[in-house]
Amino acid sequence: VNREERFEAEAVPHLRSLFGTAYRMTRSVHDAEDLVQETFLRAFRGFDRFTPGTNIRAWLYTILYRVRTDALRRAGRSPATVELTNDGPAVAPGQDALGGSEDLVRALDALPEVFRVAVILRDVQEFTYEEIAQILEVPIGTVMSRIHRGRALLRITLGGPKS
Amino acid sequence: LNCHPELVTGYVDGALDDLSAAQIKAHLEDCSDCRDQVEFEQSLRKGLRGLSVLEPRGDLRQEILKRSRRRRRRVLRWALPTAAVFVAISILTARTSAGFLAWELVKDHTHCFAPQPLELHVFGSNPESVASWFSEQGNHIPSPPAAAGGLELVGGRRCMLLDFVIVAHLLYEGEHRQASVFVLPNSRAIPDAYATEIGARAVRLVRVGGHTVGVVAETPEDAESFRRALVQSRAWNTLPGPFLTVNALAATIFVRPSGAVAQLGARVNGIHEVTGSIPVSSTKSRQQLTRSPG
Repeated sequence: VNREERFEAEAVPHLRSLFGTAYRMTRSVHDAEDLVQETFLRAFRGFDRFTPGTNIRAWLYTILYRVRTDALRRAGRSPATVELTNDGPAVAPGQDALGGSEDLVRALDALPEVFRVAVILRDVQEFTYEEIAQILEVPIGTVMSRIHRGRALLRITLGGPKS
Repeated sequence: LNCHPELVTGYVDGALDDLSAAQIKAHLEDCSDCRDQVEFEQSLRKGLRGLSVLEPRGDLRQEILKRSRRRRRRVLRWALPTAAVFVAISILTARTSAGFLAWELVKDHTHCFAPQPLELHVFGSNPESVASWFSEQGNHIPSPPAAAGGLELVGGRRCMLLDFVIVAHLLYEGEHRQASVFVLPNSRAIPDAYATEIGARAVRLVRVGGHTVGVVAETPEDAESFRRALVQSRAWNTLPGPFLTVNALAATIFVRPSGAVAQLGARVNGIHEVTGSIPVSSTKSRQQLTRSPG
């Protein structure tokens, strides 16, 4: 089995999950497509360095996050400083491609990206704290703190009592 | 126990160690705020997990696969041929232009000597011993002159030229001066005799007994001394042809002012191969090595 076939069999099946996360990160279908394409290109180039049998999903998400961080840095921003503008999410309410659970989607989109990513990796993608620490390249304590703050902000947005 | 909302989050996710988890669990018995937090976070997780996932458009997968392949093919299609053409041009130029070869030898000399001298591979003043050491390494060279123009053989090293050919590089040393000899494969396109000056160095390319010999020196007089010594050398003019067409010879001789002596001193410390059959440098050389250049 050559490299291309292995890549197609092991990495490409994660496209759907990566795209979903990329869309939640960027809040734009177009940006999500770019992000995912660049992620797979980098993954393909670095596929020789990936150890078969280890956690390819976490590896792909690590690349995804790095690509996103690089793009933000080029644009003069960083996930830590990305705050929601007054205009609200790029996708207007009601036009969200997901439909349903609109309040939750809006609240999630309104989170600063640094917390949104942590919450998505944990609550949507079900990564462990260790895996998230690897993906975000931060200590586990930071992972816990970001998830906590993300959920606490969601709780406020969704109208619950302050945590 | 006070409230630790972050640890409660960790508790919800089962990410705490046993002790912390037990403490939080005990705390929850008494704290309704933290119980609310647990309840909210658990239902939030359920809600987020239940969000529908936006599907990528159908052809995105094909696009990704196509782009990966294209990227790879592009490298193969352009990078390799470009490199091959570059190498071919280098070889052709190096082998067909005396000027290029002269320039390359001078450059190689500079590279070997300054600012940090490279190590000698073999160290000795006996021409036959040095020649036989090179032969053992696959560079078959005739016995080089023991001395010329007051410069004495002190050793040599194997150098790679731009066309990846490894040549023998012989070093000579004199009163505050230094010299080297390079051995190259046969270069048919080089004229029988060629003289030029590049920078502060005189270069001579000479054919000796079917081989090409390059001489680089600090003065034309020194270059001429070596050219004459090689041309008049019986060993260089009587060697059987077929042997040398496979691995023919060119020599480059350098002479440098006083600074070179100090540099050679540094070389001596760095020797990493000295064959037993080759005597260590002559007393004269040794004196020169320890003497501070004036």
